[in-house]
Amino acid sequence: MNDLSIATHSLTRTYGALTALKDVTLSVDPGSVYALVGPNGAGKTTLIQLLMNLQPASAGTAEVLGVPMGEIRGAALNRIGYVSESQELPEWMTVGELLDYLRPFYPTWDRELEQQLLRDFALPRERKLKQLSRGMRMKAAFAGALSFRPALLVLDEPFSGLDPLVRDELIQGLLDRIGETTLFLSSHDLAEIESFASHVGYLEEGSLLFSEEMTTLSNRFRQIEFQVDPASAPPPKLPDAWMEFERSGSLVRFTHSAFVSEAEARAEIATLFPTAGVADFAPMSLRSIFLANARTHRTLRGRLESGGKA
Amino acid sequence: MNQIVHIFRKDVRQLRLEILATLAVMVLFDIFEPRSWANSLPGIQTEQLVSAALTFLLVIAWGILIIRLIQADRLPGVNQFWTTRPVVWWKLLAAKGLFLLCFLYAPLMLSQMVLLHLGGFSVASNLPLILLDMLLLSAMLVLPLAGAAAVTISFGQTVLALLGTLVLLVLFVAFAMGRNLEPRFLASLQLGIVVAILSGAVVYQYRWRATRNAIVLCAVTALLLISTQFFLPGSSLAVVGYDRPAQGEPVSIAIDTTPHPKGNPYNSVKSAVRTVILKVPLDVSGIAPGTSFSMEGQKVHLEGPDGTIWESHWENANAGFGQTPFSGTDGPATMFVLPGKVYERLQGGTVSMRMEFAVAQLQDMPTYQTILSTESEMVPGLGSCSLNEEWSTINCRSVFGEPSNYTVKTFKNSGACGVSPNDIPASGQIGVGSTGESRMTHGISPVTLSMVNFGPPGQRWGRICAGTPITFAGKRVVRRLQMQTATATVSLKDLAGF
Repeated sequence: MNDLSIATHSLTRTYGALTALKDVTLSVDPGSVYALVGPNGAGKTTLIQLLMNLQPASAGTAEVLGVPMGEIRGAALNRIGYVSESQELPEWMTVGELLDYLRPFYPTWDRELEQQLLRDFALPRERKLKQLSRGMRMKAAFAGALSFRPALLVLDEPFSGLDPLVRDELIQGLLDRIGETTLFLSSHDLAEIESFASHVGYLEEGSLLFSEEMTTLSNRFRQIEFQVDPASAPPPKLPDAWMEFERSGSLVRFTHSAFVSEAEARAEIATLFPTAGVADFAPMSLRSIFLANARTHRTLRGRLESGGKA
Repeated sequence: MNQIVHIFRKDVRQLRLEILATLAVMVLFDIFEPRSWANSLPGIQTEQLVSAALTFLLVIAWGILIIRLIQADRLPGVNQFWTTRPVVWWKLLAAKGLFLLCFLYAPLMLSQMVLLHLGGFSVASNLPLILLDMLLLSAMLVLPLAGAAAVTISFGQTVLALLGTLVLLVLFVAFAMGRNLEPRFLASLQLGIVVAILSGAVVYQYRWRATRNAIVLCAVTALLLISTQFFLPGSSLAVVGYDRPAQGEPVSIAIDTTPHPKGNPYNSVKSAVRTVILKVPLDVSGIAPGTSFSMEGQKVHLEGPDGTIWESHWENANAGFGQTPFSGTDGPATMFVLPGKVYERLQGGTVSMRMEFAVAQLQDMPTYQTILSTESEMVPGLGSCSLNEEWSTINCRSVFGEPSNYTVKTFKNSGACGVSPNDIPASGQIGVGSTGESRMTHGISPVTLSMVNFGPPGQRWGRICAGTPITFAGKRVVRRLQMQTATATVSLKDLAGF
């Protein structure tokens, strides 16, 4: 038993020869907002479905709120909220009927909060779900998942395809719950996530490339530019932490994924490029970090594949 | 309990139209079904058609209701709403069961009670049969539909899966059905297989939502049904329940080897094909008065002079050739089909032949005599009988199935009732089979209508006048036993009639 909201250990999921998730080990602290990012097909939804016991793992273990993932069902879901872009809702119900139906399942259901969410999200109680727009349906799903004040809220691509206004409303709804509820969400909307995520995990081809606090992540990624003598020879080997290295004439640009301080980085640059001028260090957005990782991984994979063929 | 009722109420709200449609069809059925028991021939034909159509509609309505009920909280897949809510699986299953109890079983039971009452039968004494009918309904309709709905993701997919399975089963059963004797326990065994494994599959799917495994369980059910239908008939298990004759058994049976005039009519048609039908005269003795035997199965052993041995499966004794009861009076015989190749090999000389029989011993029941009337009268063993309004036949209503074979004797009148004498002896049969057992046909209506078949056709034109005496004579099975002949030496050519 531990105090973590989510803990996975070498979680793996295969479908025949395809490995959708490979040895994923991560932990999510209570009260944190953990954003799971990665390109399409990286395994984000698979990981969430394993945690929610919607499908079995091929190997590895996980605990959600201290409960082994295989036992996440029935009463264990009293404290876990779940919203997914692909989840079916009972569309024959009205918004009010949906909430009326859900209420008795949760001992901690808060009717005042329910009313507040209905107001905040401007949800029409008497309208059938099938008559609502996609955004309104997501709001209804959020209202159903937040009204019982879950200890953990799991969201799978909750903002996908929503207009900015609805996104803002939903994010505000989530921000109001931060502290009392641990959030674990996957999303492509990196700009939104950046505004409130406390931790981030990056999945690529089923592997978790990193999982850390947002501040640590932001601190260790830098976009670096500097000038060199165009005639100078390139170094025989670049450090592994240098991503997306580009040299165009005298201009050199790369992403440093293990940045500690400007002084250390300058020393590193000076060792490899003795003719380097003054370097410019720019902090990176989550989106830029995401793109740098995705492109680097893709390039490496391309090299491996072409090497394999050769 | 609260969760069960809560989900049940949700399902009622969601499926209210389906519920109303089902109940409406059932009410219509309850209105029209009693009319199909009318004592008037033209009325019966129309009303029976309406009643049959309503039965079909009711089955379809139930099918839609069951599939929609299960798939209201779909089991396969990862996107269902309920799977990420604190729904306890057995409470969900119990809610579905409660729904079926309220809107399928209870209305049907009530409907059957009403129909029994309208048919003039006691509801209380037939309650066990109603409950048995509910079990059969579960095995034949509810469980297969629930099983298919539990492992599929949409109504269309369920219907396709059901149709596919049905076609497969029908093809296999049609292929397996033949002249082999079915064990008497086969239907109960198949019922048990369906109830046990399909219930298990449904519960398993609700507990684990492991659709692939649940589909395997459903497929195992179908395979076991096919296997039991394919392998058990004709095997040594076919005569389970037929006692071996005790020492000092008075009845004996032997192959009659005395020369008989040739003329087996079947081989004039069949001689060109690959089978030959052999007619074996039998010599039966020791049958006590008031007793008769009905041959239900037989097995033939042949051994040729060259050591060739041929042995049949346990076959229906009357398959395709009419009934072959032997009462010890005028030349009982049985027939069996021999493959052409075996016949060719053994026909040259004489062969050693031995036969085994599975027979039902029948005892005459006391004759029931009464005076004909268009008012219903309860005839023991037959049901509620009356003269029809056209004065042409006798109608009998029985509970859950057709009655056993009864001989009905009365007199017809070729002229006007009350003026001309009732002087044409009329004898007819009512009911089915020759075994003296009622055939239980469980269905939606608990009441079955049977009519006396007064033959030959020439007799039908006379009237049966009210007030004419009538007698009903039935038989009942007192035991089932195996009998066998001694080995006899016969010529197959003689038996084939060539």
